[in-house]
Amino acid sequence: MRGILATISPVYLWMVLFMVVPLGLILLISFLQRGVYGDVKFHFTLENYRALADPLYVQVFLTSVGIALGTTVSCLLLGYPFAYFVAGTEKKHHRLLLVLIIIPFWTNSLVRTYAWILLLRTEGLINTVLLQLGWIQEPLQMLYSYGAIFLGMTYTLFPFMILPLYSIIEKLDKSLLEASADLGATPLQTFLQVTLPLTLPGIVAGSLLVFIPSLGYFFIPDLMGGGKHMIIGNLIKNQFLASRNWPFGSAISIILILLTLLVVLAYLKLLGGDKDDMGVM
Amino acid sequence: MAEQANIIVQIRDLQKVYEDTIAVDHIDLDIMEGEFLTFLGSSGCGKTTTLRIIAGFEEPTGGKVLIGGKDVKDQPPHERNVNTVFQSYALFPHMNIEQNVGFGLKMKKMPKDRIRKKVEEALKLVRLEGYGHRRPNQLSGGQKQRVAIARAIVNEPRVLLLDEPLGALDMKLRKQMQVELKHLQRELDITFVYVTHDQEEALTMSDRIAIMNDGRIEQIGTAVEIYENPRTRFVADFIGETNLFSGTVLSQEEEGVYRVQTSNFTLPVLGEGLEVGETVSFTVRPERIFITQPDQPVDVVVEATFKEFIYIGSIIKSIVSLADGKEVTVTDQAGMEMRFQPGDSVKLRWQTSQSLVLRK
Repeated sequence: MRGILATISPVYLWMVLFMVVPLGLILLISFLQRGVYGDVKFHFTLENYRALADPLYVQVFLTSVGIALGTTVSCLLLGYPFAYFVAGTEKKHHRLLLVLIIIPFWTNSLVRTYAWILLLRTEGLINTVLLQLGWIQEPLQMLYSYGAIFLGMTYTLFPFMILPLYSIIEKLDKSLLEASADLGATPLQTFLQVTLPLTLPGIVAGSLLVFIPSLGYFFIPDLMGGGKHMIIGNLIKNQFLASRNWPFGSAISIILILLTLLVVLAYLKLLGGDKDDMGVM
Repeated sequence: MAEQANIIVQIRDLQKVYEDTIAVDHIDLDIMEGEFLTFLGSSGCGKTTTLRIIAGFEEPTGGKVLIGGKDVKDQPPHERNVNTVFQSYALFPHMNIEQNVGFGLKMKKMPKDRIRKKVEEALKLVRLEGYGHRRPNQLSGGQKQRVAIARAIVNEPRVLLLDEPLGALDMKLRKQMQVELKHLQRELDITFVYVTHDQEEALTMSDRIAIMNDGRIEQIGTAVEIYENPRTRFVADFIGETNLFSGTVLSQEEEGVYRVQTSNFTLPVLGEGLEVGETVSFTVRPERIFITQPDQPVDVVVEATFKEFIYIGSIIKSIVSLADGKEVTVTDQAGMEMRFQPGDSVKLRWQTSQSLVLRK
């Protein structure tokens, strides 16, 4: 007994120190009041949560979920065909293609985001080239828009979609696709009836891996959106750093965590359920 | 045996070349309606490739396939009225058995209640009534194989292609399924094109067997024809066990009978169009050679030295050697007295009709 305790206690110690304590602190602070000078006053209140019901903040949550969903969908739409393509090439090319996807991510994501800014801004590379070619008369306003935010988020989170998709598509038994065609299914029917249901776990896993971080990202909306588009990530950041309203920032964080948990629970339920009733007929 | 003379599949000058190997080398073949035809050969002989070309999974490099008189060059698999039973079963893991079997009918947009009825009939045919709501992973290998067969035949294809469908089953189940498949084929009157490397399987089930080697058909015929009248050295050696000899043609004795000199003896053999002086090989099956005096008259008597008995259950194998040391195998029913000792002089006897000259 003592031996087992000794073995697992470092794990518990780690979890307690770096998970339970900080989370507990956030939870605690979310029920406290902000002091006049940005300190935290030990005075229990639900005001922070009540304030979140303000349509302004509801809008921020909706925008955030919208951006996260949009990012997930665009990662999926780009990632699925790509993963399918990689899995369909000769085996020896797989590793190379995946490494090519991953290499940019060895660079710091902040640096990569600045690189996008250099490309997209009004006097950036793309506008300069298009102006020189005479295809446009005035520089295009590409930065500081939802489009730019989507682009930056999709670019950053793309590998998280590709890897789970690739690993499940690659394992898909090709004879099932042949059997489907043999039984009279057109390529589209085969895709909808066989490929898609069998690769669904990869789609869900990849979507989750993209959706969750994109809810919390704040520097991409800040940099590429020009700070004009308030989403949860930068709302929290602002509460802690700019407004020095730790209790309110903590309350938003708790809500964000709960939102994420909900998504994860939905995912687990989906995976647990597919054993019996994922039938297509 | 199917007696219809209608040709259902015509294979004309079919070739398939991969980067550096020739998988199918100019095959011509007519498959008759309602027959059970087997492509038999060792791995890499082109039998599976030929089957996959008929199914539409592979495009031929040259030549063509006609199904029901129609060139299927531009027909993808889903437009061909043939169905395949895959070696790996290829059942859809996310569907239950009923959905698996009904998949082809659903693709044809058949009404749901008709699908249910036909699926039920098909499952009954393969003796899996009541399994409709199970998942493939809840079935044994033999049951999965039956589902795969039901899923194919429920579509009433004109031709059913089977790619080593029993390969993954154990010996006993395989033998049982061989008989079942043969009965099923007779009952349904569908053309079966079967691929296997197991000669016993081929001999058991087929109306005709096409023996393949190096992408070519060496010989095609009924089990009896192939066994009794192998035309090439490969076929004689591949099907069953045999004794192969080579020798030089001395003279023609009569129509279809030549006298051949081997390094040990001269004897009459059956052959056609041979030239005097030509080197030929010929075969004599071990069970057609007698060591003791048989009841029937024999034409050939050869001196040999007895070496050993090998007892293998229902038969006994005797190994004897000729004057130059060449070993000859003789088989006999078990129960024969083991009266010889190693080193004994014995006489081998057979009828002329049992030594056949082979091509190549």
